[in-house]
Amino acid sequence: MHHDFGVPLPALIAHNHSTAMRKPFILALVVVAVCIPAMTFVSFVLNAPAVGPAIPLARSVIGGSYLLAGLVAWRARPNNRIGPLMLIAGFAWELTDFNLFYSGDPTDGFFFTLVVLAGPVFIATMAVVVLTFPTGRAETAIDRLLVVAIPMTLLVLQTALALVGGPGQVDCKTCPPDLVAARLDPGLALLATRAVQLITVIGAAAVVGRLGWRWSSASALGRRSLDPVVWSIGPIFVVGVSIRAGELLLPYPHHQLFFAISPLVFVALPLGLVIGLLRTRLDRTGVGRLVVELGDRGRPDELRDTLAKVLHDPSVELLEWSAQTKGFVNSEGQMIALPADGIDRGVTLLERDGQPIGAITHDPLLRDDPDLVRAVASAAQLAVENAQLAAELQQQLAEVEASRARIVTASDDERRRLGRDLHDGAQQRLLALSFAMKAVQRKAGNGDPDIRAAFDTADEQLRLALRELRELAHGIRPPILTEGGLGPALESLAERSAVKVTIERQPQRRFEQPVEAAAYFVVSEALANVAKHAGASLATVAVWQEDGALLVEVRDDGVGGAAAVNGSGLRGLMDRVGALQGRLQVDSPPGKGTRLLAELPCR
Amino acid sequence: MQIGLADDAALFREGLSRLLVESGFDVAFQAGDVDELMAALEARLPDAVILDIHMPPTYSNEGLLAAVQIREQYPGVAVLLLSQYLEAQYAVRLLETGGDMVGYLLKERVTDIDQLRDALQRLGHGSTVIDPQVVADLLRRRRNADTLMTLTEREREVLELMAEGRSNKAIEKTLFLGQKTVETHISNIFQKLELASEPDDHRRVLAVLSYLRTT
Repeated sequence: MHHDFGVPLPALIAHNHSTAMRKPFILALVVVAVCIPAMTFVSFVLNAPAVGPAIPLARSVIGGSYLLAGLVAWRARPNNRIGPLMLIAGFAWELTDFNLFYSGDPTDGFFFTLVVLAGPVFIATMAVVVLTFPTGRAETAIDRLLVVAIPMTLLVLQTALALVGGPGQVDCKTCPPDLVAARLDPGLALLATRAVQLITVIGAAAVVGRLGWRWSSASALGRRSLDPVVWSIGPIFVVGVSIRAGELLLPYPHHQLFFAISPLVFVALPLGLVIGLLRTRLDRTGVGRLVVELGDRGRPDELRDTLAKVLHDPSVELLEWSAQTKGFVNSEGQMIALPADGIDRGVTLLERDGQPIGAITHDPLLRDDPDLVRAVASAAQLAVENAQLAAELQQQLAEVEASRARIVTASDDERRRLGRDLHDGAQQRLLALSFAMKAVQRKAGNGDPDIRAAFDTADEQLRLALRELRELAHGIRPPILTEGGLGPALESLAERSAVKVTIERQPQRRFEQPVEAAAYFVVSEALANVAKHAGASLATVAVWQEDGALLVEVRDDGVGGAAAVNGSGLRGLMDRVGALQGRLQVDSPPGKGTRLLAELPCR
Repeated sequence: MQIGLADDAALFREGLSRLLVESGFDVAFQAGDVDELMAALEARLPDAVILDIHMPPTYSNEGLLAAVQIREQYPGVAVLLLSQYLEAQYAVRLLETGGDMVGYLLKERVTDIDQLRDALQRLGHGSTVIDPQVVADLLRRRRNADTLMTLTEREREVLELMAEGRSNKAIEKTLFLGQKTVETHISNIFQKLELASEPDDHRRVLAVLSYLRTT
């Protein structure tokens, strides 16, 4: 049978990015994630030598890590906003650093203002990333509210802050004048700055709180994505709060300690995001494993477990299409309605030639990696189809076996009926005819030699007819088998055999008709073969019952080398034995005799 | 001679009965199955019973078992067992369990009055009757040709007659031989086939048949 799955499976499993696409991506990686942070670092050190290289380096690494993570995520999930958002965050981070190496030239005011506004862009973007991770979409009303509210609030606050005096006047002693700042009361500006910081902390707490909430109610697959983010946001949150507390509680030099470890923590977030996003992708090798595992697993529940393992989604359910009921059936064989492919459940249809053969229902999060789901679905489709074909084959085989058994039984019944008919009918009539003829013969007397000769001829013909009929009846079904069972029938066979036969073992009891008939014909055919081909001087017959089977063995000391399908006799035997779900084995090494063993299931 | 008949085939029974009556035998009773046969024997004992091996209810070896039972229960009644086909093992079993005064013939054999009369008379004299076909079938197989080749043509003829249950006298008559000659042939046969000589007629038949069956 030929299978055509449209898309070749390996293409789905393998990376479908060609080498041609790889080069521009590496170029982008180098330019964006390495050159930009490097430039920032160099100009930072040149313009503000007093700060030293450590802090600029750390900040460049952090910015670079967001750019890098954004690029990787974007490439891996082209349809997901997380990647572009992280790139924006990375650029915003790099921009904020420009305020630290400002040359002091008052004409740079425009650029400085841009830089000041970039700070909240980083924070707002990352807040959106965390809130919508891993799908890039705000799934609930609260998330949608936060996604809009946080950036808006930050924008409004930062604009207001800039108008009332700007952060430069508060925290930065060497900063240039702000273009839009109204330069109002410095006290008011400080108050506004603190208010912004407080609101930022509240916003951050809301984002982190929401993350924790989402994590606790997430599916196993959802947690698999959220785990790395939670583990990276956690330290950031702790460090962030600690820094703020340090600023308030400790004298100036001490809180430098928190600054020293904060870069590591900031790098952890993009790393966590990328890992969380790509965890399913890392398991793409699992699809290969899946294909291998599916190869030797046929049972639907095992297939489901394998799918769940590869997709990391314990909720996976495999539904099979039932052509009879035109509906989907679950592993328990119950008809179920296919859920809608929506927020609650993801559904991937398995089709062949446009006809459904099954469906996988799964965590909706899996939709974000359609390639993986498609690859897994292809493999599953293959397995489901295999299982269906195997089941079909099994059923057909069962039907064929049943019909073969029926044919053999019917032919046995027919033989028996024929034998009985011959015995009760034709043979009796011929015997009666014989009596009648003999009577006429006696009455005709011994006078006319012609009449006597005619009677003798008729008598001879009658005798031959009876004899032929007797042999015919015997060939159809030996009466001794019906009458006495296997033991006497085997003895009769041994006695009629041209080769000397020893009966080693024979059953004392009777068996079902088809079993007795099969055993008898096996021995009969085997002995005929021994006489014809084996050149043997002795054949040994053993028939015994063992573990719910009647075993029939015929051995000889002949030349061996008999082929299993040597002549139609053996072929017929195989049909007969096969019809009873039995087995026939012929072992015939050249020069070492032949051993034929039939195994007939019996009660 | 009083004869009892038992066969489930009425057509055959009638034919045989008529033949027996026409030939001067008395038909004591006719039975359709073993039960009827046994009941009839309770009422009246014939000199011989002719019965089919193949009888209701199961059509297996009811006739054979009945024959053995009759020989045990009524030692004076000879039994002639008829069958539509021959099995040497049935003959042996009949001889083993029924002793003397038993016969095993092909059914069609008794449509001939000469053969029927011969068989009944031999049974009446306490001999054994085995269908020549049983012996011929056993001898026809090639496998014991080697041993039997050591017998002379004459010895082979004597062997066949012996296996059919013929007495020494009958063999003398059939082959036109003297008493001494037949005895010599028989002792040669037993020597060549490495059989122990048997005093009883039916034991001798049994020994020869068993030898021919298993060789």
